[in-house]
Amino acid sequence: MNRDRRLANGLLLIYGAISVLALTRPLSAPVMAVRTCVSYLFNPIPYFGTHAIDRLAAVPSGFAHLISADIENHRLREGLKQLPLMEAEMKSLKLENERLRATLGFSPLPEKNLRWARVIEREPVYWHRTLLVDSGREQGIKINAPVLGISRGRLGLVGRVTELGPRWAKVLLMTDDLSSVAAYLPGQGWEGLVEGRGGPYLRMNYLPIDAKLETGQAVFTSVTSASFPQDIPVGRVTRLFQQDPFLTFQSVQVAPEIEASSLKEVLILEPKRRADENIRPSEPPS
Amino acid sequence: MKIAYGAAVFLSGIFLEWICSTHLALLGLAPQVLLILTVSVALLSGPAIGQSFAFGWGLYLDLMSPHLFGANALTLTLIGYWVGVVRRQMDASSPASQAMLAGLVSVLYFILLALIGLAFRGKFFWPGWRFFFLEPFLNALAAPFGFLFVRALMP
Repeated sequence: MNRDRRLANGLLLIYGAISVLALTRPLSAPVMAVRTCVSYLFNPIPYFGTHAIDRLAAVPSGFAHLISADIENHRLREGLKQLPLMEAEMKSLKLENERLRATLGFSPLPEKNLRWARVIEREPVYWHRTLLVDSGREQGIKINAPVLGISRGRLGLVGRVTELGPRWAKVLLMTDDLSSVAAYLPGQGWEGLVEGRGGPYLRMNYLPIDAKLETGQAVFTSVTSASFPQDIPVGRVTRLFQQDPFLTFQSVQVAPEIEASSLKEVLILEPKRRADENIRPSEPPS
Repeated sequence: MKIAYGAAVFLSGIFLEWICSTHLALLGLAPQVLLILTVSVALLSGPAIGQSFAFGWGLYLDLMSPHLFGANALTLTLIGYWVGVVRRQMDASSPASQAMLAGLVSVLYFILLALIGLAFRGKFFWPGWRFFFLEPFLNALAAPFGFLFVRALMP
């Protein structure tokens, strides 16, 4: 065996051992450290690449923009004069809204800290599994934050943040088979668990046997969801699975409301607080 | 100097993979640039360099994986090693043979990835039939350009 072949065999053993260690002990400290190092080394490429492409793409339109900006400036100055009137009108509408909510017994919507983030990377092999976006810890994004998307004017659930870097976050899509969300079908209010399948469709399990289901029904996140705000559209029922006589529930196929692969931007919310986070331990008696 | 050329190939490979998969993907399909480059580097430089590049590129691909960190690193390392070892038994000088080799290796890549999923997660990691059938064709089409790119940067 020549020297090159011996070197190749030795390297194969080393790389193989490192890979197998990473696969068998994904949460051990050395593997996590390697993963963090690799992400710090490589993730700037998509981040800065996206920004460089944007700047290059903006060069030709920049000249035209300068001319149109001057015209727009004049128009905006005119519009600015209308602002006090619009502000007064908005205040009046807000008061009216609060009064009507109080009359109907609706609780006010909780304040949500929203942040738009741009999709900077996706991989064909993980098309229905993950996305990388250009906001991270420095922008105040937190682990487990719900991620929504808007496509063709419709809001829908996309996934949740599972990994964070200083300026990037990895979003685990709803279609990944590690994802699930408590959801309900309006009307009768049937609740179930929507789970990802690693493909383009979702599956809603644990629906009662006597539930009358039909295709086209909309599915929304439930108030019982631990991570997502309620009443966010998840998708629509596209297929009713034949009932298994050995199971005590029904299942349906759900087409996601948002095709995550077509998204350029996503909306990241504040993660939902757990109920036990609000409970403070009582002071010991002095 | 060789190290500088190698680093240029390594980093530009990642950049090209990102451009193709994020900006040029059509219906979720794009050539697997890093797989093609792994084959090219292993063919031109042998198993030791081929699998070293493959391991680094595999770790980059694994960053996007929510499930199996190390699966792509292991798969690409094995492919880099295998192509490097058998390179003397094949003639990959023409674009047609490069395309055929890339197509074959793509099928091997999906099978290895699925088997690693089965071994370490107890579940067949399957990207879908569409990927399985169409990606090898795309990779085969892109393979001659990958060979040209590596040959130009790694004389």
